[in-house]
Amino acid sequence: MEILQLLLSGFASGCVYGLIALGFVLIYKATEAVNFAQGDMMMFGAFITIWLTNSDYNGLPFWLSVPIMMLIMGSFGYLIERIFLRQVIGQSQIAIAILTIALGFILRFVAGAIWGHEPHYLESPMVGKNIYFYQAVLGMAEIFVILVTIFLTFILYVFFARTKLGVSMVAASQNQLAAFYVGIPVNKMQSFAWVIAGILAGIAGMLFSAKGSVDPITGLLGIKAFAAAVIGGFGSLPGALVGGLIIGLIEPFSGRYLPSGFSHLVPYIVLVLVLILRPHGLFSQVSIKKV
Amino acid sequence: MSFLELKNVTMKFGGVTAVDKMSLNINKGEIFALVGPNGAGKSTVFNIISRLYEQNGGEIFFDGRSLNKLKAFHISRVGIARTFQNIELFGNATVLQNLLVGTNTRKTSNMFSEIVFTRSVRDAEVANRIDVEEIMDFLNLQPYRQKYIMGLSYGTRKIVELARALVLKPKLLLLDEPASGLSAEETVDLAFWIEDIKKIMGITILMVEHNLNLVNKVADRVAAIVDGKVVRVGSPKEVQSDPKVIEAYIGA
Amino acid sequence: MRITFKTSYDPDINLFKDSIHKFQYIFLLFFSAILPFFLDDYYLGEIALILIWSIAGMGLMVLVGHSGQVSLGHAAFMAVGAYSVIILQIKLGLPFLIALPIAGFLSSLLGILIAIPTAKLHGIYLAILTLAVSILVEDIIVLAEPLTGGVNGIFAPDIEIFSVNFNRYGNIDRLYWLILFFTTLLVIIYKNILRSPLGRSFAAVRDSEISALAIGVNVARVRTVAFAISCFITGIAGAFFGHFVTVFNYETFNVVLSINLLLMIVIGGLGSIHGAFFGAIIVGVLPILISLSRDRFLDGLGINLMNFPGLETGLFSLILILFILFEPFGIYGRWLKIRTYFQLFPLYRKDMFKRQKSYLKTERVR
Repeated sequence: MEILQLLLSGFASGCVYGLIALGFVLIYKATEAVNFAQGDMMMFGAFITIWLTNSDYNGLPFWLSVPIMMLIMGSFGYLIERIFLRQVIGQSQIAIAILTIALGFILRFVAGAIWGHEPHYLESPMVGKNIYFYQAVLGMAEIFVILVTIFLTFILYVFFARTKLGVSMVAASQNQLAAFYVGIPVNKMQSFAWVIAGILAGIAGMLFSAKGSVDPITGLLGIKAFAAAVIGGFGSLPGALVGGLIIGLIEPFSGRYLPSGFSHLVPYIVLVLVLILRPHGLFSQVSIKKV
Repeated sequence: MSFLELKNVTMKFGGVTAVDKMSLNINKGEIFALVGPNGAGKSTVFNIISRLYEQNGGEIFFDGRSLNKLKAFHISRVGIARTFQNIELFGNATVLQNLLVGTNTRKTSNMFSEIVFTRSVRDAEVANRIDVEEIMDFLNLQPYRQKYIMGLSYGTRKIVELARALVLKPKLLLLDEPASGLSAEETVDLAFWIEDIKKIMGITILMVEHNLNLVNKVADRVAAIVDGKVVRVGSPKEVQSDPKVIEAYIGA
Repeated sequence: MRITFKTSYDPDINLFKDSIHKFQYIFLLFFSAILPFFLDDYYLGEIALILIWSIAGMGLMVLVGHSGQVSLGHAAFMAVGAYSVIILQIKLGLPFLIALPIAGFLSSLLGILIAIPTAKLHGIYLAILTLAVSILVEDIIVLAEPLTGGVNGIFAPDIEIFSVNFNRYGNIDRLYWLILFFTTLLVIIYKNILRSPLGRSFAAVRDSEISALAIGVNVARVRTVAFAISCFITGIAGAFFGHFVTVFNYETFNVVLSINLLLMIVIGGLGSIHGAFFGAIIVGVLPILISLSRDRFLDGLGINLMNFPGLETGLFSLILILFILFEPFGIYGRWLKIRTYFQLFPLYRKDMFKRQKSYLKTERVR
């Protein structure tokens, strides 16, 4: 029964990693830039949810604060793209990466200045509630995380496969020039990718805060989400989710079966190994640069 | 024994056969041009000769030795230099620095003598510089010596790339569309230079070119390539009047 | 505007363009050398720290600015340098002057170990990998407790060179001179690399790998050499840093430091030795400015900056963003423009420096 608990907590944190990784991949596909601030945006989303929901702050009902948070995070992503990223189009990937790293630092500072550095907990309806299944104690929060992620994956699938906007985004990400020629506003698609990434970061943050404590350096979790994105091949949305689940599952099991101190090395070792052995991810094919 | 020999070279990308059992012989001292429609596999041949691609079958001999086992960075040491279709220069360096990189193949110093910058390293650098200046004189590049590549016009960059290939003192020079993007005037200059490279420097030239005026002017022999196969080899006139070649160009 | 008439190729190869140029740098060195006679210990310490950051910056600059490989994990190499120089002295009783280069080589060994399997990784992927390495090294330090003191950290002994003592608190002026000496030495080495075939092959690998291959540059080897040199220099910086802070643990060399090192050289200006120094000066001067402004003005206004930890990094990041948006070449780029403006006055044209946007190429697969 212990296995069941490990599985559940692994899946739950895997969902959060997967959602952050989804944000990376979305922005990477749309703009060829890697958003190193995605983890910090997640942290920010978590704090906004807490700020809206907790009785110390605004005390809104949970079902109301989540859409407000999504609205805030979406506009936040939009603003970041318009104010900063739009200016550096054409600069190297690395310059853009460094820009987003700096944005992440600023987010961390701002969050620390507003909400302080002590850990915060979300007062969600799921807090402390458990389901007893044979001998296993299953946290409601973790089940909630998994259900929301499944639902979100479904929505995203419908969006990218069925809606005009979603299909245009996929087109723009595959060949910007061709997309531009057939009349897709590529600039708008890039903004939109940031909006979705902002919302995804917000939801990931909300889920994270539903199952644990949040402080300004929570955003460093983004590095584990990198591992997820890299395992998934950095260009594939389902790959990112699967990568997230893999990393999420590795953690509790290595924590259980490896000597202490070694367990949280494992995600990073996996990341390093994947980059060395399968740099284009576990699931993707390689393209040759043409000269 | 020909100078450069391709024997049944085949290259596949996934399901597409870009080069199909191609055989070619290039003689020492001639200017040999590959012509053919886009996507015929001409640049792929270049990339195989310069070992950027590993062919799926067949063998290449240069000056009596097989190139199959060589790595891309060995190619300049056996005496093959090349230019690229889309210009691959070191953009954040000056023209002089770009050309000096070409002298690296001849260096005898090791890392530690370079860190101390010994007398012999300095002497070698002066000698390198003299070599580079000769090439710059030849191609009239002196005005651009300290200019950054980024600030140069397309035509000048093409010439810089040619110069950098010449700094390697090659025996065989591969030119990938040397005239594309050049003005009529620059193309005329280029034709003279190509002939001089053959006559004065004694370098064999293999080139891919769409500009038939240039090909007619400089090439000794031409091979027409269609769909990865050699359709016809001969003098420029012969090849251009071959019905199969005309058909391939006009499109059947 | 100075015009030099060249009669041989030597001036192009020399360290200094002409005698005025040479004089400027000798004056700078002389000025730095006599600083201990004017400054009090606090400021001298801060300047020594700036020099250490400059060394670390130079190390990273070799890699990022010149060979075009981005590392987000250089704190790991500083850590190797710092820990090994001290462990070699304490456990093996080696003298500092022998322990220092060994520490550099150990750090460079780690660099080589990373560079060889990752020779094909580019841009962002290498950055992510080195980021992971930085975290791993942090954890490995904790696990290697018998050697490193684990979470509790390690104490640096005083540096002894021929029974002359160099101590951060006892005689900072000597330590400062020692660091200045090694900084100068490393600058000369760096400069020599840049003007030799090796430096050119770095630029070749950075700007176009394909044509580097075509003209005979062994790209994989050059990348590895760049890593080795970079990590050697960074290891030396780490060794001095360890002796400077005298006590440190795994947290001293965390990921944030790794990231900060990269941000530092980007602010300074990628692709030049000057950039490493300018960046280090910003990193060193910013906290002093913050604390000064706190003492002078803000307390009077009732604003207490102590409530905002991370203000330095926040401010630093803001400066960085402004630079990326408005001056991608960093402080050194701006400095060049200002200098040229005055040299050419009134002939300066606004688009004089309009060329490539940045030093690092996009990895887009065409």
